[in-house]
Amino acid sequence: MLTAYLSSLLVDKNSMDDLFQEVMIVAWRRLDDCDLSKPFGPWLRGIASRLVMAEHRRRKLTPSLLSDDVRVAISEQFGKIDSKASDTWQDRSAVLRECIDALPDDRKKIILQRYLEDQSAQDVATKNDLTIEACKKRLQRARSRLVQCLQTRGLLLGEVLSHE
Amino acid sequence: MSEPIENLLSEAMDGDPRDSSEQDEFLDPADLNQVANGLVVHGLLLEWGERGSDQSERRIDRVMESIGGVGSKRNRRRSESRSGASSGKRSYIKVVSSLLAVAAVLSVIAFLAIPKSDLLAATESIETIISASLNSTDRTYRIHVVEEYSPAQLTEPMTSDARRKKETVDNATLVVRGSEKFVLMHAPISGDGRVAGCDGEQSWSFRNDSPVHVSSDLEKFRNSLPGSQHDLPLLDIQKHLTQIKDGYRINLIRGFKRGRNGETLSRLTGVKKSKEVRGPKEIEIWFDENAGSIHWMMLEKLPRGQGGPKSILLELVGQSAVADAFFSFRFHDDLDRRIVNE
Repeated sequence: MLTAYLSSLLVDKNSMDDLFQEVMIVAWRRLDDCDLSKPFGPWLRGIASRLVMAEHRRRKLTPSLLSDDVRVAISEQFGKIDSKASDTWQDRSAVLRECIDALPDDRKKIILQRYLEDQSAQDVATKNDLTIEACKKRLQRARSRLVQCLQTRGLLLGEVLSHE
Repeated sequence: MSEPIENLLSEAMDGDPRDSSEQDEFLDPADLNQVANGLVVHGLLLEWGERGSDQSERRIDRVMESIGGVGSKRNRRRSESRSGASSGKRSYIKVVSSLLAVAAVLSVIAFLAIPKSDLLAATESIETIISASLNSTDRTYRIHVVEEYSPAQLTEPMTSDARRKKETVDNATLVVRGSEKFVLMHAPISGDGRVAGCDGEQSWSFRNDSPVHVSSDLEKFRNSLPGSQHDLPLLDIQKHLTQIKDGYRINLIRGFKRGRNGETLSRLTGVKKSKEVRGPKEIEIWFDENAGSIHWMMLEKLPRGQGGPKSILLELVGQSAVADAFFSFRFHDDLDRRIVNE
């Protein structure tokens, strides 16, 4: 889940290992500061968020989307996911997989190529005879559909919007 | 969601990350949750796609190697099997899933296998940097304000001088030679255009629209340096590090990460021992142990007084020698300003 959170903060693949390591080491070093009577996830995500923003800044690549409000909203969503305490990652990924399976075939295909086969959007576009812009649009719509599905299934907070 | 925001989101997740920064779309509050949800799903999908590969396991091994050379899977399994010894940890291990399993492993290792702080190694490293700094070349740092105090967090209203400092220190460039000579150039984007410095004989400062103020007091214009209001001798690395060594609980992680040019950087962290020690609550220094050069220095939770930033980052951007004349105001004063002696 930490890598999911880091990815949500737009940590790229090349920086993921370093940041994961950094978060864990800082958490280890500050374990004495952690109030174990409170949920552990928000504490760890707080560390991760600060380190990620410092890293974005260091690389002069702070995405304008990551405003304070957006980061708070992301943390709340992960808090919601955490709060399903009995769920393991397998339970959560089963819900995600079901939502992916419920996508129309063309969208499911590109989501699997993009994330399961770890292909770039450009490679997915080439494989599917799409322009890169059309491919990005299709990925974006597929993700929007997944958001709705995960909200319906109670994994994400928020009202279910139906659009498209 | 508005189309520009949707495009920005799409670009951030599927485009080139280098293109996703310098855009300035206004994020409507109505779009906020949808942007956040899009990013969360993107993160979940990436983690889901990664599961089954050995990536996660490699990451955990790497973390454990970093914190004490006990990163083998065998040791990890042994540590996990001994986790019952840490009963205080048991309750939260049950509550969380894979994320916490990683942290639990680390905490068990921390308690059972690794000394909390390799003080001797950390102290030696500080001394290495100090001795290297005595022979060091000129250093150029970029200053980043990482975090500001919100107005509500300030104990007293900001003075106009403090407000000006807050506005301009971010993205300033600091060139340092030895413990006295420096030039601090505020980012032109601030519209301020202030330049301050010291050539070892006199200190000076001027703005775009002001005369040059000159003083024989070498510390006269250091007040614009971040940390100066807290007695942080950033210019004098030797003094600064000695202060850290004496006033902070320090910890060293060797070979922590790679620098921009492939150098192996170690990480020195310090937490202030008591409130009596002036300066930030926490300090992180990432340095090249071989060269003794500091690449990044993070000062976190600076005291709130006078409206300075909460956290700043100094990033080493160059070590090229500059001309001696660079430290004189005449080098920077291309308008032949009036000189005011103070």
